[in-house]
Amino acid sequence: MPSYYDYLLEKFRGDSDADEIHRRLLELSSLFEISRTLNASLELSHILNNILLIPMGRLLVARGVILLIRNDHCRVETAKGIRETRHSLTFPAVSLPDRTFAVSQLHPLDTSSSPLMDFLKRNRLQIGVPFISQNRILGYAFFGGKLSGQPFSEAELNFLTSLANIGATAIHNALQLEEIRQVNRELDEKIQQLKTIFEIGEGLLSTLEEQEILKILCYSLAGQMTLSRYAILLNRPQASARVALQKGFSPEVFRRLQPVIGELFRLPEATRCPQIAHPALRTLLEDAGVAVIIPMHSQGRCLGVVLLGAKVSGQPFRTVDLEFLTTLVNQAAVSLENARLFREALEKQRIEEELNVARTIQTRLLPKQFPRIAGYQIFGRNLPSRQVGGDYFDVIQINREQIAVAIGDVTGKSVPAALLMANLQSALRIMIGETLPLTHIVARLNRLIYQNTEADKFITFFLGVLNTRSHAFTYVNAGHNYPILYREGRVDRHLQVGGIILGVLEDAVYEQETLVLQPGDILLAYTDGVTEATDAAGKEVGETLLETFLKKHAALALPALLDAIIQEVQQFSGGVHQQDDITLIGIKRLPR
Amino acid sequence: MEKFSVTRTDEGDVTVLNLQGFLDAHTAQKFEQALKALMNEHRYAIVVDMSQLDYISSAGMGIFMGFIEEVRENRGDIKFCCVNPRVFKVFDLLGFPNIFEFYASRSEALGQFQKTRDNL
Repeated sequence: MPSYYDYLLEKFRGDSDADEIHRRLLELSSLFEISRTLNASLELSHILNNILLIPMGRLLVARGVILLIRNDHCRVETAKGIRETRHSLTFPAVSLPDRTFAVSQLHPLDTSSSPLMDFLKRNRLQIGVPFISQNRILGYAFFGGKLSGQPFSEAELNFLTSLANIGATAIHNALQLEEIRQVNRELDEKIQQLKTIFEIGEGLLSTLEEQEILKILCYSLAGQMTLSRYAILLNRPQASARVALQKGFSPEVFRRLQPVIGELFRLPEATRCPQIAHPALRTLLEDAGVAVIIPMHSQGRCLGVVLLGAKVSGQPFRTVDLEFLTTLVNQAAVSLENARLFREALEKQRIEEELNVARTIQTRLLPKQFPRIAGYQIFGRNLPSRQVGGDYFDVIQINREQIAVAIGDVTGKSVPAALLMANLQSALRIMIGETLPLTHIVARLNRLIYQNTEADKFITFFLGVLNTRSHAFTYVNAGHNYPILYREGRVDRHLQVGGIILGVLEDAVYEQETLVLQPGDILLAYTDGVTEATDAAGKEVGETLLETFLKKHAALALPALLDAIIQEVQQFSGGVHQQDDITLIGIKRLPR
Repeated sequence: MEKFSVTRTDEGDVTVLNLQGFLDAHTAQKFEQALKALMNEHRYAIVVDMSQLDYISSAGMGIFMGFIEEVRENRGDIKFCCVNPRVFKVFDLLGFPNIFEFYASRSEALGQFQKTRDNL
């Protein structure tokens, strides 16, 4: 600042100690200049540069270094004329004087073996000047000797001290600013993390597609952490783990992980790879380039893990990163769980709708009215199970004298069973009108069912035709539960003649039998839902008990008899939910 | 108006993707499609012009991470230009300037590809 110098020079012109004054004025003006320069900036590096360069220029010193104390360490912040000027140079803090001092005069006991002293001696740094602000030593400047070889004069040392005093305030301010910036940056980072968490929450709420959820999660992880390698392994109960999504890892890794996958899914929290206790798992993951593993937990269950490679930015995973990742991943886990529950609810709803359809089909197929025939009672009853079991019965008036009764049990449940049942019924109704022997009708039904269904679908079927004039009853039993002929207070016989169940053998041949119903005879046909109804202990009704029920209520008129048997069965099962339909059909020749 | 759009201009070997609007978890897939298309065409010299990008979230930035390795393995690069300060701040916070090059103008970014080619 030559103007100040000129001004002062003018003012003291003619003074006898002009040279001394000149020198003092020069010093003062340069301190003034320094003060202005330093306080005009808040950039630490700029301030430190000036603190070094100004005295180096003024005192003709070729080497200088500034160390600042940061967290119990002295770090080289700026250095001039020194070869080992790596910026990461740090030393353990040593207690040094709080005033300007000569390095050579330091007490050897305090300093003899410290790396800092070695550094100072190695670089022939002679003078130390502390920066003191608010009674705290912020750091030191060290200067080498003057190029002239002359020692520092008292005045020069005073100059350095003054310079350090001015500099200390500027350094203090700059350090505070640096700290504020750091805090600000950390806050910004937190805000950014929160934004990401909010966004992913929002994104995850708007989708219930598993793959979509995982994609959103991975995008966010990759962006937030600068990752180019990541994978999501899903833990599936009773199945091998599934790689739901992966980028950048060799597929081989996942194959090799299978034997130790259980260990992986047992990790309780976000874990850096080297901290994995299981040696084989750790080695495998380290070799694969996995840096961090984050388990996905929902309600105490591990849904899977997220594997992350190293950050492309080269930064390590900090503890706050792991916390953030855990939050993000768990949020995704909740969404995955929701998606699963939704899918299940949907599936349940679909099944329910299907059951309603099946129930409707079945209800429409079963006869609601029964022909009234003199001397006979013919009735059927069906009690569908919740699943709609595929029971079928029919009563068809063929002509004035002939009435066909049929009962069947289609394999499977719900809509497929109902459709097969419908198929059988329409075929039967068409064929029964033709004057074909029953054995032919059944053989044709068999062929039809065989051709229209897969090998595992079949029907147990009983078809009988009653001639109400001759009282002859001709029947074919294709693998159905034997109907009971009840005569004179006891079970007279079981109707067993026929052949194999419908739908398994294309060219199956059937036989028929004719018997004559006598007054008071009861013919009872039923499906296995009746005899296989179980009580709480799993015990079945069975044929003997059914026959007991029949005997007990044989005196009742027909619809009441069927109802009584159903009631007995229900009483037996004691309200246990039955898996199968219960169907009964009966013919009673009224006593004379 | 659409929340996010990406328009593509090919300038010789270099493709410029101009991003507009909000690039976040919802729109990320759309941008991913655009980059996938470039990969399929083996176009690995990419300048992303963000002058009209109002917002980018981590998910949006994740897309770049997903492609940068493939791009560089094929001697290409993704360079950014014209990033507004608000958007740049997010890039900066997450350490992207250490991984990607940012340029003030589209021509500078394009010029950088030219330079790399000249040096080969």
